[in-house]
Amino acid sequence: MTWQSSDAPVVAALQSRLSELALTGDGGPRIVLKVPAEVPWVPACRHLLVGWLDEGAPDEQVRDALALVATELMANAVEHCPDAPAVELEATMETDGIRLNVSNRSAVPLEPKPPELPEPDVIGGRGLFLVDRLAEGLHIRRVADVTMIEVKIQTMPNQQSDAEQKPGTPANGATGSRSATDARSGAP
Amino acid sequence: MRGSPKGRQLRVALVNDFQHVVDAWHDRLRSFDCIDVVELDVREDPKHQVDVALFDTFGHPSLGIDRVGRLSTEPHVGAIAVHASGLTPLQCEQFVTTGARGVMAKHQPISELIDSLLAIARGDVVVQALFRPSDSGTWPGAHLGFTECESEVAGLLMSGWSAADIGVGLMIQPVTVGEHVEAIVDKLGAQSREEAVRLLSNHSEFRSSSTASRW
Repeated sequence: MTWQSSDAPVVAALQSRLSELALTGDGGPRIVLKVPAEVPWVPACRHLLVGWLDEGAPDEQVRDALALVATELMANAVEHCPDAPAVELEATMETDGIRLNVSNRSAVPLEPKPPELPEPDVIGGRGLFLVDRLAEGLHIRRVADVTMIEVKIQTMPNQQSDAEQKPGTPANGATGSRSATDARSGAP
Repeated sequence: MRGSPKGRQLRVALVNDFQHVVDAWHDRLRSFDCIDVVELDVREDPKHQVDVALFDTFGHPSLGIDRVGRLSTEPHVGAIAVHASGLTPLQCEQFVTTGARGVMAKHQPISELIDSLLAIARGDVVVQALFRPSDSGTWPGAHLGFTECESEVAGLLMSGWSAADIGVGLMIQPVTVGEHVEAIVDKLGAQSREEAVRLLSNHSEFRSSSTASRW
């Protein structure tokens, strides 16, 4: 997923915040949420995450993508690991995007379905498909009894994929990019 | 654990309406070199520049959300961390929306609390909402066998609050207030609520709330 040139103000706002906080070291700003693995905490985390993001990058597309991806990952963790006492969500602003980690401790390993769109009459099963379309680098690990899912929401043009799509196109995301809205609608 | 801001100590103000509460937290934090407890604010706002004001919700009507709002406008305060025994998801959101950069459960190990304070001072938002009954015993009357809830009710009784006001202020049912009052009376070996209040007045840790204002 990449962003269009109209996203420049967002990127500038993000970079400005990042340089401010870079003075303190330890990388970009983070939000860390450790909450009970219970349904009412999922929307609360989404609201907190969106509020945090609004401080640095009040962009609707980034916000929507992050909110949806975080909600899907947390809801999966809560629904499929009923013995997990807690879910932890950590989002970090990086120079080219926002990295999102969702982890939980459970004796039941989370066995995610492949991120493929199920048949139209099938209920559910679209969570990871959406995550895969809206984010990059979906990576699932299990270490001991902890399941960790990591993705990244891009806020900067993905130079490599742009170049691959349209050789010779300036690598500034001005053309040949696919917006979050396109991704949500499944457009190629 | 992450380092303190730019290698210096983290300047912290401890804020609550009870001297006993801030003293207890001061005792717990004083052994950590990375923390400099600059001031203890009992019913007052920080006067010195601090990286983090650690606000304890104990004994605050409506959890002290309005107090956090006021703290967030203080130019001396870099960030606010809220320390609570139990919050709903909505209450956590309200604290952050009001200006807190952190919400932490009191039962959290002290090392994790410090780690969270350091992260908050750097600009992170940290919500650690795995609430369980606290065993830290930092509240007034812990040595009398009071639970934290009973201690909050006792503090407000000492301030002359009615059971109905206490219920509204602490956001608990009147019947629950009644149960707490009954437990307080029993634990003090008193015969009535009035006698319990008289006995409580002998315990200095409850006195600091006597001028606590109603909302």
